[in-house]
Amino acid sequence: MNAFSYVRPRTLSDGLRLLRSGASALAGGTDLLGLMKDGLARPELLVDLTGIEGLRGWSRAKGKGLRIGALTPLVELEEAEELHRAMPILRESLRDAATLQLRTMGTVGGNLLQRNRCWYFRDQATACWLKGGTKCFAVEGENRLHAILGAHECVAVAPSDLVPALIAYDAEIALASSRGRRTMKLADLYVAPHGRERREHVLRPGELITEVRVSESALARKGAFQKAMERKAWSFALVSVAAAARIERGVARDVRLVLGGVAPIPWRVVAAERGLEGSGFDEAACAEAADRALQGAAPLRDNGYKLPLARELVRRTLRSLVV
Amino acid sequence: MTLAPPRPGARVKVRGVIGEPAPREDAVPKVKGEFQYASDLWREGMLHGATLRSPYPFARIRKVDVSAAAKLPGVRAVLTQDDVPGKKTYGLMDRDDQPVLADGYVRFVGEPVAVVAADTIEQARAATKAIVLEYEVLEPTFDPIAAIQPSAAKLHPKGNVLERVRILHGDPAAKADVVVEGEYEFAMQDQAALGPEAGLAIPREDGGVTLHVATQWLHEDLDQLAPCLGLPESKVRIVLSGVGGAFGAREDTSIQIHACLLALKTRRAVRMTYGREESFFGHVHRHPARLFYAHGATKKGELVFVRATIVLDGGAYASSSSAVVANAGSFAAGPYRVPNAVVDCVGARTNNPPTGAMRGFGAVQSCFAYEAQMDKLAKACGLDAVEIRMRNGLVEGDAIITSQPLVGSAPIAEIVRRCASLPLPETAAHRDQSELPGGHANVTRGEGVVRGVGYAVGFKNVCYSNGFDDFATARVRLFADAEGPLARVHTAAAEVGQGINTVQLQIARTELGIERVELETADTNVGSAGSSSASRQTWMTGHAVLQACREVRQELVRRAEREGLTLDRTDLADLLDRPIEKTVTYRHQDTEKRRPDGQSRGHVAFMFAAHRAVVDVDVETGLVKVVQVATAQDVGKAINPLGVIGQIEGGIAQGVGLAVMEELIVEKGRIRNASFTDYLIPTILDMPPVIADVIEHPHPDGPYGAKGVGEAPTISSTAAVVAAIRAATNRDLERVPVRPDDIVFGTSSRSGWRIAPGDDPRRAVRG
Ligand SMILES: Cc1cc2nc3c(=O)[nH]c(=O)nc-3n(C[C@H](O)[C@H](O)[C@H](O)COP(=O)(O)OP(=O)(O)OC[C@H]3O[C@@H](n4cnc5c(N)ncnc54)[C@H](O)[C@@H]3O)c2cc1C
Ligand code: SF4
Repeated sequence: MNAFSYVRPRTLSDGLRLLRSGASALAGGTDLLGLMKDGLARPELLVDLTGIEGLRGWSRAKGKGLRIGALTPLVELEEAEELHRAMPILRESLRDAATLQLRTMGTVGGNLLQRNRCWYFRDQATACWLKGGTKCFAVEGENRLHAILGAHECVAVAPSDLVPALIAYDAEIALASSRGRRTMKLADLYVAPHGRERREHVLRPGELITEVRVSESALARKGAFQKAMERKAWSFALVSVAAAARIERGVARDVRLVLGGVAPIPWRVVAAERGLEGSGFDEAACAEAADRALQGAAPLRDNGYKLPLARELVRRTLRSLVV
Repeated sequence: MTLAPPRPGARVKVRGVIGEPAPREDAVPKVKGEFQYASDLWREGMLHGATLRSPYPFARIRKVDVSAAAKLPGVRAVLTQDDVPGKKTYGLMDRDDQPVLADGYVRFVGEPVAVVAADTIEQARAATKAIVLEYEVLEPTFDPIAAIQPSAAKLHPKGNVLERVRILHGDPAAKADVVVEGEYEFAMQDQAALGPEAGLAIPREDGGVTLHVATQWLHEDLDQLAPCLGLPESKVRIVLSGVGGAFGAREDTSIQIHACLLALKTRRAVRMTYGREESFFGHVHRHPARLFYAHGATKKGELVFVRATIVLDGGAYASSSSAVVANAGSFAAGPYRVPNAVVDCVGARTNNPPTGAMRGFGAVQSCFAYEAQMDKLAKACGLDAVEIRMRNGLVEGDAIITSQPLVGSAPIAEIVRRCASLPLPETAAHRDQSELPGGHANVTRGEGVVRGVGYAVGFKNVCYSNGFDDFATARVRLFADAEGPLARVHTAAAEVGQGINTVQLQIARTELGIERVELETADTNVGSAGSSSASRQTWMTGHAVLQACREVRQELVRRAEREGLTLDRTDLADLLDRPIEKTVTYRHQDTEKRRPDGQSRGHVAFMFAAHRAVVDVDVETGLVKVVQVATAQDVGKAINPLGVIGQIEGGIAQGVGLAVMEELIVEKGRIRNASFTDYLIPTILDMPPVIADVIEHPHPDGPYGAKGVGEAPTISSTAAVVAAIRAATNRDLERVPVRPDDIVFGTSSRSGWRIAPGDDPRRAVRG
């Protein structure tokens, strides 16, 4: 790990001012410190966000939807009963994420921005394409955990469990930097690394996520989340599926279907969503959506199993919205 | 030898004797985080050591320049091969093929090239990066079968065949009505000890050094260390520090020689502790294997022959490969009556990470294959898995394929029957979501779940074999202080978690009839105890303690007689105005060296276990949950029943892990998943309930009839779990660990070599 300085500002404006080049925001540190230990991140200055007023906790004002502060520890989302009633998918998606210890330290903002888990990426000695090298080692190497969909030069997968769940509810994020504020759809934060874009998200330098928002209308959806992993706890998703829809008199509206662990970005499948619109999530519709969700999949040498796994998981998750 | 313990001075009942469930003394401190592991060792002013490792699987070192590194702040020493004052190579069992620091070549990714001592660990690591190295990259060999072909490039002056064992038993050309064949693959498992390699070396006034270290065999470390340091053994003392798991990985030295070299060079205490990633590169692993089998039987399912060719990948250096190869060969046919056998077993040198000892030591690899074969045979003969094993199981007096007869064991048929009659778990319908395949809370609600049941039986030797001079020494000192008689037991037996400390205390209490018994710290100031491996410490050190205590007791009897007293009615303290001290070295009965045809009475004793696994497989997604493992194991005598259960459950955890998730992914010689985020071991939620039937069929030569316990649970539990998955999926599953891919697609991997089972793999044909 390189030597670095550390500050813990009290206000957002101080924080933003401190985030000049060479500085890195520190939330729970569960991803960033690992990257630093492996020599993959070398910030000169760590700006600890946990002392900033107003970035932690969540609220739901009448008619205004849900606001979750970016510094809220994951465990708080998981445990709050009121939140669970408002948006059960949060607990569902977090229960199998990492471990209780990591969820206690880890925050929402950090989870949204965690780096991918490709073992070539995490290996300091391997200068792969994403790290500025010339080739992706996973494409022709050990790729049982890699992408089957939507990949360009890099076949790493989006690792978060929370993100697909939030995207299924059309979550937005509020961003702040010393130059101003903006909001965007959470889904738009992510890019599949390609061309000159050798990164997984479009956050600008010096920019912070302050809040995650879910609209009142989205909260009316019913949601479901499933995650397949190789052991029962403490492992990343082989495949995860988040689905949500407003179900009125047995008919689905505003269907959302988002997969994790299969593509470099959270993989939203609009074609499958459209096919389900107006359906009752009957067996046939769910099975067809599952097929659509995997359309264009291109498994690598060792990850062909992800295809049937994802298909089945999509089918089950969709069905679970009505049975 | 008579086995009934004497009861001197036993007027009050002594607690904590053999046969009683005795909790470990370190259990509570470990759970509370108060136990001192080797990585917690600390000394005022100590330096920190770091290792520079090879990035290449095979290369010649053209140039090493440490001058820049040596000038960095805080750096006290930078050592390369030139700075090794004594012997430049080391190795277990006199193999001596591994350089202390790279000798002009590097042969695996992670091979130590230089070591540094500095004031802080950061400075030491920075200095390793400042060492200038020029490599000439050479063509590596990773395929073990390719490595042993006559045409293969030599990877080491000692050649690429680390060991070959050929076993010929009965008629090599025997014919049978029913023949089944299979090729099996066994991936690389890691011991995954939670405590990384660590130790503290402290230079002594007399030019010697004291090393505190987490190890399995203090004296073997000493044997390897002293010559490399250029010191007589008397100037090196090794003290056992807190061991956070071993499972074979600490049989080879890791930091030992390096830390001592640095301490002697700097005249300062030096601590070395590997980080998690480095630990994966810095210790040996379990041998991966390719196994080619043919089994022949009568129509009734009675075995006629077994033919097998086994190739184990030993990696770049010998380590304990030769003994692992011998074991894989010896036990290649399983605990069955096999009149005719041909087994050819070779350990190959490659540019993969070195492999060596791990719980089960060669027996695990062959068990996976022969038990799969037994199930195939059962199917072909229309028998069930239990019946075929009962029909062929060894009974006392039967010989294994090396012609060694079975002594002092329950019949295999009885072990299998008792295992099979243990209660089965409830059906899936009754169970909690968290017990189904997938995540803790997710994935299946029972759809697509098929249950499977599988059986396996395994066996292995206890203690060292094939003529090895295997001994253990114990010193027992009995004296009286203000509180009465107190015994101190001193051995070099390494407590690595298996419970030998508790066993020693129990034996001493039993033999001396007093409750106040303490253990001295294990170190090299007493004779060797041999390794905490081969399930041998209870047998060996247990015996030594037992005999030393009996000699102490004889002296008590003499003293009592001299005073005209009867021991039973005397306060022991009255006889202890002078302490009594006895040192005994126990040797087990001689074993024979292996003959060229592999036949010999090479082993001291065997241990056996049967496992039944119940699994739920989500056949559509390829996810598995092991629901229950039942086992019957003949332990001879449960000296500490609590310890026995602990060993059985822990061994099964490792076996289950290997069956469904544990695999070191080695790509072009480099370990890809050197972390506990990527190398998965079972969590408590993955660990099924274990029901154990502990059979106590005494062995005539074991202490109180005890055999070894620790390895048997690992040997056949893996095979049982895979058999259960096969039953649920109808897939062949010829590879462990079983991956989702294998279940969903039934993929089976092929080595790409054609080898007729029993043939010499050094003459293999591609195709
Ligand atoms: C062993 C292990 C297993 C895991 N398993 C899972 C899993 O199964 N599922 C899952 O979803 N996750 C998993 N994770 C990831 C874990 O959830 C994340 O590490 C955690 O959520 C990150 O949060 P943090 O607050 O610790 O982030 P940090 O490590 O502090 O930060 C991560 C990154 O985000 C940036 N950052 C943090 N907050 C902000 C902000 N508000 N604005 C701008 N930038 C910010 C930091 O600069 C840094 O680049 C696992 C992690 C580990 C180590
Ligand atoms: S998948 Fe991406 S991160 Fe992994 S090796 Fe390829 S380019 Fe690098």
